[in-house]
Amino acid sequence: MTDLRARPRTLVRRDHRPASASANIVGLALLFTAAGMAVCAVLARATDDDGWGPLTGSAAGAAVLGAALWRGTRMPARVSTASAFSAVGWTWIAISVAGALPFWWSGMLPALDDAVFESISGFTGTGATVLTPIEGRGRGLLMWRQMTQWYGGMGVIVLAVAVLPLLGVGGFELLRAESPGPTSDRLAPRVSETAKRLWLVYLGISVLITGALVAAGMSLYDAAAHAMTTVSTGGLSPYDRSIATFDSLPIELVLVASMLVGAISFALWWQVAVGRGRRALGQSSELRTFLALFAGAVAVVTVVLATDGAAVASALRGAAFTVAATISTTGFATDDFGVWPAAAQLVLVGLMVSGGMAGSTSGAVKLFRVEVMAADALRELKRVSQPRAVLPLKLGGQVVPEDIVSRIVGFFVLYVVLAIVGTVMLAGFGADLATAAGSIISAIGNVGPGLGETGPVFTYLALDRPSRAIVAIYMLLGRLELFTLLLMFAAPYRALRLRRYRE
Amino acid sequence: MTAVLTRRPVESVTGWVAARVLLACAIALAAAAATTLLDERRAIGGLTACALVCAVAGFALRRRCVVPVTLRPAGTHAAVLIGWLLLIGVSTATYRVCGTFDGVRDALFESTAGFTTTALSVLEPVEGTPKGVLLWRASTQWLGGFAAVMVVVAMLPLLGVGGIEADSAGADKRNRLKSPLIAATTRRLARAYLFLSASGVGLFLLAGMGPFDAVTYAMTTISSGGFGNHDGSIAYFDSAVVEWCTIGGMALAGANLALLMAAVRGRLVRVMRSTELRAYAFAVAVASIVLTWSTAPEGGVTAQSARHAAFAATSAMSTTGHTVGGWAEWGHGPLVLLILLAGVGAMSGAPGGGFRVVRALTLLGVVRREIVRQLHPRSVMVVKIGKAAVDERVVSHMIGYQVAWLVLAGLGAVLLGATGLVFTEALTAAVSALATYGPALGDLRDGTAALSDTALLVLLPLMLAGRLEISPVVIGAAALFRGRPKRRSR
Repeated sequence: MTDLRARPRTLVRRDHRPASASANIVGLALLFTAAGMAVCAVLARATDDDGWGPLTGSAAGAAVLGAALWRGTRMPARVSTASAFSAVGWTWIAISVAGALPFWWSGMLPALDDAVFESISGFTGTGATVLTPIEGRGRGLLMWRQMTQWYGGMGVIVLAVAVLPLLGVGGFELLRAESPGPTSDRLAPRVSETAKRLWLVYLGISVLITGALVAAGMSLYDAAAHAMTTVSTGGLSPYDRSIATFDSLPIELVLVASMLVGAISFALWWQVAVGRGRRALGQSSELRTFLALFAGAVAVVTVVLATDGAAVASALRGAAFTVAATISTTGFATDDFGVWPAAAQLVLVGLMVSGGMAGSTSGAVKLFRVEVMAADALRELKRVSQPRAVLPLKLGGQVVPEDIVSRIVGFFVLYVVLAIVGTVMLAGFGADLATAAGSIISAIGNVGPGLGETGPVFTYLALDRPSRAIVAIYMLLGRLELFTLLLMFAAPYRALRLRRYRE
Repeated sequence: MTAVLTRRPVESVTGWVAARVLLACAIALAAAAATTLLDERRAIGGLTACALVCAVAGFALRRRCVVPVTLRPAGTHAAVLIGWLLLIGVSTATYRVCGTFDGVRDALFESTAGFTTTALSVLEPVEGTPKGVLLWRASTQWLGGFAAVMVVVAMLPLLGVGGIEADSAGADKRNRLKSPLIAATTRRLARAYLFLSASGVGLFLLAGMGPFDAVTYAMTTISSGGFGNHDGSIAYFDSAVVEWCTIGGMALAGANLALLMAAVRGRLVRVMRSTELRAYAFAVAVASIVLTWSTAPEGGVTAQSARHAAFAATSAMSTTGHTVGGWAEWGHGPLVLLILLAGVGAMSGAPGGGFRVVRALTLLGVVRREIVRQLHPRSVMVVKIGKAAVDERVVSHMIGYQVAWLVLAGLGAVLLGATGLVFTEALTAAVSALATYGPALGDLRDGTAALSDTALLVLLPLMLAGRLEISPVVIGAAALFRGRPKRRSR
């Protein structure tokens, strides 16, 4: 006989693990990193290079630590904005260190700080390097170097949210703290579904680019390696002379197109994938601006190079590739723009600041913000002659709400202030203005090569250690859209609380 | 046409401005002509002729034109722009009549640099030029510094633009030069400016300069101009006392005129309450210390190296551009810092130029608000300077100004790069010209010798836009090209 009044056995077991968003996400991200390193270890084993041991060891270490952190903690039911910043910030620091282990362990970069620099440059999709010479290292290690960029391009947090629907509640906050762009486009009502779709598109485009590169004449290894750093607009290459190694017009054409693809919003590519492409692409004013800016910059740079004495055809080829590599913040190189005339260099610096579209893998300010800033400045000019006019800010026929304008303005001003501060710091450590400004703008925009002594044919070893540390921090700042890194320690910091503003 | 026939006064703000401009030039030219008596009457004919022409034209216009009762923004901006071009035109003609320069281009450049108070000169060598012309050259900067303050403080706020009045926490309302009548405001400003200039002359005399040098250097220092009568600028005197006096004069050139007058009247406590003044003083002090430390010679800081560091910092922050040399051994960091200081520039309502401290403070407030807003997305916050809230309209105006500044600097740099300058030179020359500072990095450290003819022409609009706070140049030019707006019947 059963006692009907007995309490039914609860199906939900209480979870006594400590709740920590940071530890949980860090653990998960380390597991992903370990998986990538394991793949590269297999490649290293297959090609008989010496990177096998360090890669396997690092993968094992990251996996154990990751599993312990992930299984040992639980995700809190709610993730506040401040703790989302903290979780994302710690995740990026953790994967940067974990990703650096194989470089350091294998002796590829004997100094730990250099290995971390290379790893940060990889994950942030920057493509600045301190490795010289690049060729002659194990294929597995070099592939891991490429793969860091591929992970970082769409973002490990997005991957985590995509893989684990459990993160649904706090997922949006986390996504917001990592995703590139002023507005987080929701492709689906569920955040995890959005993240899944983004990664699917990302994966699909990576495969397409690999295929196109093979068709253009690359080996499968080279094609995969370059596809990973193209779709993520990263720009690392396993060759010292970057794309100039191949000296092939078809490869350059494929890469120009692929870099532009990477700099276009992945939300748009999802629409294309599901067959709503024509309408979505046609409606995007940002896309039109992007293509117009690309074409205009190519024209200007070609003219500058041609007046400088280059043949028009080679000027056009060099200009198209370099402009695409810069506006998409990829940073591949076929020409040494360090020796180009200053006018062309300044145009490139402008592109390094603007970057590609919001919601793409490209870094920097993003065109949407640039458009809003430009429209805002024009509106101010109009206000001078019509002081009382009410002028809503319109882009592509749509009114941009004032609070978004105000946030974009805040971001832009912070970006400029940080770039200036960084330039002065680097100059203080002894770099000349071109090197200092070029390195900082390139780092915060996640481009890669800078100007002067850190130009495309040089490495960041030209800077001294403190300067390299500053550059590495700027790469992270830029990739995480400034605020995440600035505010990752803010959660317990009471001074920033609103209390002070209540009067 | 009927107005001309009936000889009634015409309501024209352009004519009113032009009349004042011409009369001011006439007075300065007459003074320059009088100076030639001390200098074997060299160039007396040209200066006198120009003075007479200006006087006649000025009086004629003054009789014919009155200020309209209501000012229209576009028209007023155009008037400011025309007034400024007229100043430059008069000066160019004077240099040509006196035979100071061989070509119109050099005369035009020297005039523009003069009236925009930029320390860029193509007069080579300076020594040996007739004293009358040198006095006129200093006068261009002196007039330019004053006219710039007048435009920003007296005219633009009447139109509800400029946003320079953001720092309302400082001096009390009575001391802020915001009289609704331009003429009254001008008189008050002029009194303050004359007082400062006279004190500058006195200081330089005490420091041991000759009377002519004292007057001209005071004129180019108080106006944040930076022209000198000698090829080595202030280094010519090789005197610590002169250098300290110049540092003081430059610091004043970068400070708000109204605040300075309030301080003179003894309202020190109120003056010290100004956040902008504090920030300006703080920036100059910190920059001086950093430069002293980072440019110390081998054996450690000497009195001379410290003085030169303070001199460079003050010269850059006030956008004066006087130099004392010693730059050759400086590293990249100090030099980049100097360009940054010049870019930030002087206080609002000061003869100095640049982006201006009050705008920089506002932008820092915007940054701070945005950082806090990340954690509290729904909070409503105002931007503050010190304790005073800045109006949202003013904030957005300043942000527009920042974008315009960056765009102009970028465009200017690209164009300068196209004339053959390298990256560092092109960028710093554009920023320096826009800030009306003068010196730039690379080969441009010691003057204009490395600039090609085209590069000189590119600098002209930059200097003018920087001096006039951009909007009169853009709006004024647009209004001029569009033609006269139709009058609405009232």
